[in-house]
Amino acid sequence: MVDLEILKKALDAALSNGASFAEIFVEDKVINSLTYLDGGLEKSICGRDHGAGIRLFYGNRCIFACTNDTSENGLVKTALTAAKAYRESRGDVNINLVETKLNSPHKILIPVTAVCLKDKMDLLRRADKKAREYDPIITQVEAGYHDSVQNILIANSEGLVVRDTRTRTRLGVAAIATFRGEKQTGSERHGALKGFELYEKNVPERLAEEAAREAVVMSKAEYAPSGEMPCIIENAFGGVIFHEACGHSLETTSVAKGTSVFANKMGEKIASDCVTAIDDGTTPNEWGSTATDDEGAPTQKTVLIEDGILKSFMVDKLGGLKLGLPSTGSGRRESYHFAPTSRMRNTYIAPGKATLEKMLEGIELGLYAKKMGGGSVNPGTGDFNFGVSEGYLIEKGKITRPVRGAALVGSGQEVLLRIEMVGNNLAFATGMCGSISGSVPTNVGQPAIKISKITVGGRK
Amino acid sequence: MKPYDEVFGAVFDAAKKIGAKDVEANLEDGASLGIRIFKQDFESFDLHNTRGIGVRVLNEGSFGYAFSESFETEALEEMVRLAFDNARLSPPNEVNALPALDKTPEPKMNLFNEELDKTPVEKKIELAKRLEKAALEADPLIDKVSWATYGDGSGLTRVANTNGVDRAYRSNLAYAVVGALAKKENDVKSGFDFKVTRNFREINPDSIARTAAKRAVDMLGAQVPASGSYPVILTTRAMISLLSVFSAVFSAKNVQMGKSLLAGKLGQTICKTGVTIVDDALLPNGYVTRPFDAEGVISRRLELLTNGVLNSYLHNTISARKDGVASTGHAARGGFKGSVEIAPSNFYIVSGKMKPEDLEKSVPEAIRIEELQGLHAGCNPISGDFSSAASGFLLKNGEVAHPLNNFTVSGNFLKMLDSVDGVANNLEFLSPSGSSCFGSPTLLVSGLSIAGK
Repeated sequence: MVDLEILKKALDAALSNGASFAEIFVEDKVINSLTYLDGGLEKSICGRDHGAGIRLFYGNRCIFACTNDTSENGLVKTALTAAKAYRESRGDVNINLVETKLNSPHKILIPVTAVCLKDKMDLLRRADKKAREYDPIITQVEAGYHDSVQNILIANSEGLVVRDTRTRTRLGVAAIATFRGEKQTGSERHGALKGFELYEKNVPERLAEEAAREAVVMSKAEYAPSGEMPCIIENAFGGVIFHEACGHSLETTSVAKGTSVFANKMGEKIASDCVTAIDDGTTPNEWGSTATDDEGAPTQKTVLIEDGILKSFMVDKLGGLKLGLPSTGSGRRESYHFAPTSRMRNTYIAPGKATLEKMLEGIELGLYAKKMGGGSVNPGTGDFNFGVSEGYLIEKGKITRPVRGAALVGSGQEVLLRIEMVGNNLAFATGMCGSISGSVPTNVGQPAIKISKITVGGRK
Repeated sequence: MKPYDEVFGAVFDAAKKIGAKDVEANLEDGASLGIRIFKQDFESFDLHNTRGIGVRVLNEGSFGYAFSESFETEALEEMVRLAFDNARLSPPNEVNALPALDKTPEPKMNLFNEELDKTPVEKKIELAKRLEKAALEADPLIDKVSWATYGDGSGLTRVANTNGVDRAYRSNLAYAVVGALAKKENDVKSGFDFKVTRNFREINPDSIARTAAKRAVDMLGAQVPASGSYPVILTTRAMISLLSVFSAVFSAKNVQMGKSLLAGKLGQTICKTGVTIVDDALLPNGYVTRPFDAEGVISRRLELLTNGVLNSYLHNTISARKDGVASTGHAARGGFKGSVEIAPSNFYIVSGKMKPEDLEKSVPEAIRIEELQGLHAGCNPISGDFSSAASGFLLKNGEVAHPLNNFTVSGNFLKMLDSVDGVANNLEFLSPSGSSCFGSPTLLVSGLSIAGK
């Protein structure tokens, strides 16, 4: 992509005003995006991103500049502009760039570039057909296919040079059911750091069926109750609870500023004894995995909480510098447009031993959240919220009627301590997580969990 | 002579060579600066320069899209070829067309503030530092500042097509935002405030900081309300959060695709209290005011809801052709990489006559909602349902009894519009979100479900 001699010249320019560290992140990314709507291909967009992000540290101060011009002139000019934002006196640094060869565990069997657009579109055609056939009350189906091949080259003033290629693909289906003048939706998606082999074994049909099923069930659901009650959150995307209630507050992004509720809680009990939570970037071909993070550090498997005790934060280079902690390979960014910061990868609650039957025992009135929508958190206060996209009442220890339109709210610190049971059916789900370094692919995951008490925002 | 004539020339030449007769190109060239201050030193300093071009090519009755961040001739030719080829994947439709050249004169606007552009970076750093200091000093209960940021951006947009449309404009905008944390024993609450403007001198860091601090301190000791149905005072910020999600119901495309509850309701009364909703791309001093839309169609002021009656949807050229009407100038792309869709511009509920205090006094008890969180999760513009985390105050006879948080408010957007009991006279806009910006006065809604204890 860019020659090492040019990278060195740009890094030297970046350090010319006494910066303590400089890094160049070069990116070239080709994307294909197809959308099916109303029974036909609605749009197809192909494109290429190309640019470089240059980052400098003056102590703990971070300067960042990006450009589309990756010629020697373009990179040096951008580096000098960034360098001028501050000044420190420092001796000359001799940068010796040595490339590290990555041994990526993420194998691609069918490159997405080898598959023609017609075959990609066919996945959407199949999903559309299956969802519409599911039930006559399905009135609209929207399906999207997306793939990208992202080539990155990272070089820094510590002499690191590393390259990585990330192939990602995902398919999502949304179905709308119209019943008695009202509309309800259902959706399902699947993605991975994989090639086209992801779509073997009827993936389009399975996603379509699930989306349609959810829309139909919810269109005949009554409104959810309101108030504090016990809640069982099913596996896979249920893991968004942990992601919002805890995950963001464990990123050094907010911990380093002291604006996270868990900033001073290392080694303390922050969750129930049955909770062990992990953030893993190494799992082969998972959606949130990469071989190297976006600062060139190897990704790791990081145990965040063990038996309820806080064991580790997710640490990027700058966060580590501020807190005196080693990087956990958690530095991530959406693209060359952003400076990296600590982010989640594949985050999950480890499986326990409880069964659904055991969890239901003793619940007079509660909520069974079979599928969660998204959510958000205020890391400074720990207050979070989530949408329940498919819910059921629990009445006298049994799952009864479907309910809709519920949100779960509460305080992250409280909910972690109210997880009473952790199930045995760990599963993962894909999502996109937004923060100050842009939108990055992350997995959430968990087995089913039982929360003793949470506020359900319904309408009754 | 317009900027990037060579680039547009190369694109249209490439199109001619491969027989692509209907082509639209949309170029953006932008620069932005972001300064985050922490403990009176800068924590981060971001300089962004990005530019790129996207094309839409009509081939055998359907559109294909491609974009490129490289302006080399080979990359531009490849981009046009990709768009031309992938157009054939979509089924043909006679509504697919590029807009003709609009003979309406292009409105003269001054969206680029020279003084902002020439403001030295030291002044911007100083402003952000002042913002942090003022927030910490605004109240003894303020413990920390979660962020103190100054940012600005400028950009050039140019749209041209093979029907002779060729328009360009420059704009810039600045913002300052501060978030503060108030602490009393173990109780931590946050509050934030911001300013968006083209005029650097209008940013008053002390005033923004005081508001952010007050919002945080006022929430200390917040309780969880008892669940039930309450009259709700939706403040500007809360209502704008809902509008930013539910404005989607006004998109003609969503109506045509069976994704909007406003289908078939033109001419009907949606809101019996007679609320008026306007979308005005020409709004003087509007943050997203622009002379033309993403297809180069001239901007206008549009009344969507007139005294509660549904007057119009938001249209682009394709949706307008489907309905046999003229485009309303609401074509939008999420940047040069995006496809042409529909989005509001300056979208707002028109002010009523009452003062907000009088609206609050008109009911014996109400919950005033200051902020809604997690809207992307709890709102469904297709069903109209919302269930969102909220914070605010319990009001008794218009007086604040105590703050409230960790509760949810639920309802259905259209049903809520129909149960608006009063509209105050304090229309205010919040910061832009993409090419849209939402505004609202304070509203009183007769009964929404509150879930707490």
